[in-house]
Amino acid sequence: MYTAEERGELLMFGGVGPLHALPSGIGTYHLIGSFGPNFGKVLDDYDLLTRSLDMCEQAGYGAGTCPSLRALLGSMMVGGFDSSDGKKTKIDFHLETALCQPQAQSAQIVAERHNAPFFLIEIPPTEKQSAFLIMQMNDFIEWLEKVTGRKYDDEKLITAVNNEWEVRVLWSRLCEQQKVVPAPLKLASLYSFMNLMWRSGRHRPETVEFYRLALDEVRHFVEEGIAAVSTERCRLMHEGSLTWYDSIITKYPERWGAVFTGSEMCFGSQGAWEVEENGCWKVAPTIGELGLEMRNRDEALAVLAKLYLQYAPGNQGFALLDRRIRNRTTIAKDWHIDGLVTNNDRACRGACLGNTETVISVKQEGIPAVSYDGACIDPRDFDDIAYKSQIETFLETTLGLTALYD
Amino acid sequence: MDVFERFRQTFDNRHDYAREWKKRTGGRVVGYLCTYVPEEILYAANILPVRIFGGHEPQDITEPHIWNMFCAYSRDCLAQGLLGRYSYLDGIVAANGCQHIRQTHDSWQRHIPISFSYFFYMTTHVQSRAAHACLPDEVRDFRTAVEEWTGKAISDDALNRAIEVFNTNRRLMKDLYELRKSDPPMLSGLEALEMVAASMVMEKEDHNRLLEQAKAELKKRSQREAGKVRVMMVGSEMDDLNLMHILEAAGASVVVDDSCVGTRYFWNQAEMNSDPILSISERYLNKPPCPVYDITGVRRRKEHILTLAHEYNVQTCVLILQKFCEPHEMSIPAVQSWLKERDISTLVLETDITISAGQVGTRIEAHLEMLDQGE
Repeated sequence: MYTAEERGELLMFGGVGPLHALPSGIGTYHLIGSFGPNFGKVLDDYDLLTRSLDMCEQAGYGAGTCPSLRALLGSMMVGGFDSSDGKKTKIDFHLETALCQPQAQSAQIVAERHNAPFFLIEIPPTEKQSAFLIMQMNDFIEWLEKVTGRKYDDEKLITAVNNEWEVRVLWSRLCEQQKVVPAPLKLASLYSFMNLMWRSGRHRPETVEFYRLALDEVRHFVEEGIAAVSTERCRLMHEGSLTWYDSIITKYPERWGAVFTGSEMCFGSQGAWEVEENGCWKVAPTIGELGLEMRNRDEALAVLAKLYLQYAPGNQGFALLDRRIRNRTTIAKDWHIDGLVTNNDRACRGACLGNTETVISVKQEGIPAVSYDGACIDPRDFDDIAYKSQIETFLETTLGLTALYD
Repeated sequence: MDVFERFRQTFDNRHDYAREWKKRTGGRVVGYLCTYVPEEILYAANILPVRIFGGHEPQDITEPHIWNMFCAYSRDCLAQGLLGRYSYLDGIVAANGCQHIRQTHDSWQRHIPISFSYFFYMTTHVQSRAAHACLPDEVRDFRTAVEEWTGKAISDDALNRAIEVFNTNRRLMKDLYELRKSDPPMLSGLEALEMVAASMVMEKEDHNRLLEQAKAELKKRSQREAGKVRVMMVGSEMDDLNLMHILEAAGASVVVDDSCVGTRYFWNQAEMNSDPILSISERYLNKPPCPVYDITGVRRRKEHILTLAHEYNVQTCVLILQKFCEPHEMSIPAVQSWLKERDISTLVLETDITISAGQVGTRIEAHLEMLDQGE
């Protein structure tokens, strides 16, 4: 990534949600997720993380602001954004989507700091607004040619749209395997797998290849009856962001044989799903199965818009809360969930939007639920003792489990 | 009765006003949750649009529905609904504003009986060419939804008339804001706030008549006493009359604002167009934005805030932050830096559903004293 410039390749800064296929017409580009190249390092280093958060707060971004922004901006302020040998990260352009509203605002703040060419695309919630999305994508292409001085190649776009659609379908097929009891993967593993899409982009052929292999392997687990946790006897669903700097959230319940096996956020944010009339999720058809043709830019953009507006229910949930809550409730039933755990995050409202009503809705379906006060990025705000106590009570008193080991 | 007293009483007794209006006209009342909802559509359908406000009183009923680290306003509004204060509403409309208020809308439609609920997809990327091309479709859809609900068509003539009435309302309020440029200003910050808040809950033509009366009365008003520091208030939904009272009692003379119960509600007009839907769309796309609608390119809020600060000869700016209001909290460093460039100091005041009068008053007094000593 740091040597992209030497190879004549471009570096795009952007969040976890952008339309990865869209910039591909300009040639090879590398993606820096909105959390920056060293974000994992920051989250893994308590001292660095808290210094980053402190620094950001001193700059005026209080504890109620988007925690991802604070970690990212703070890490940039303390030098964590560049390579460890001090090589500067030169961003060629910055694309962000307005989907999670604070994330869009965060992108604006970071773009102003970087002074990199910035383009924002708002992803509306339904196919009814596809003309709005397509027009923005066309404007982006025109803008991209100007800021990079490169010619946009529609053939490359078509290939990238094919890849992005396929990766999303592969991801959904993989998530579908999680319906099997016992589950082949833990939620934490799913998120690790998902990370590749954020880091490499869903548009690249190697990403497609990776998820084909991953799906084969997970199917093999299922055929062989291999469980992620051999003692699985209770399946949990988690909504809201996980606590990225600490694995306690997902690991602790395993003492009771309770395993987090999925979430709407994990399945929906990167997958392609067809939501049926009754709210059930079915893996979306492929481009070929739908008989869609892409012979030029207009057709490719129409297909990309269709993917985002018709087959990405995870995106819709930011605007249409009733759908998010219905989706979570049907997932809980269809993925054979025994209990729902929600993170009412102290700062990340985008991910916990609808949590409280989801708890009510899921309970009405006879599935027990509990909420905890989390802080997905700020360890200073997270009370792990309280979490343990809450989850222990939920598992033992509500779900009637006894611990398998201390 | 003094006309400003009428504004105050109408706002204080807004539920009685709406009930009485409903009884008198037999019309429907629709509550809206964000100033990006195009009220003109409702008005053209003979519906009374009323902004849903909080009650600024302690409450303990929203926690099962809205996480208590969502903003005070979103929780306070829902509390009013759950408490039955808005039982006269026939419908509710939200715009695609901040995430917090979307939660209020969702919970409202789930738990409070209502026959019409609409989510108006107001594009947040208002600077884009695509927004200007596509928002009219959203306005048309809203019009259709209201027509289907009421069973009556909304004619273009009715829409044009609604635009005219709303434009008159905006123009008159702007005229009255002009009178705040004098030193001392001809009306207080509290009076101005009550005037705008009343506009949001009253039948607009009734409000227009009161505004005309206010203009006439102010011409006769003798010079009033005011605080010696000219203050601008910047924030989100600022309807807390008590807070404004504390500010002015502490020595501030609040002369202008960037608030959605202030200039952001009425500052720009709808340009009359052959297609009223286009007029309405453009008006909402071009209105002074809140941070949610100011997310790319050159921030439009900067020009609005600095122009007001200059024209109203502002000496200091109080940034009102509703607790957990993320969009505004994220914009505070930028707003502070713009004002600092113009040597205008700022004070950030975090408020909740209820405020501690003593504490807030002391902070304001200290801030004003420091300014005084600086001079």
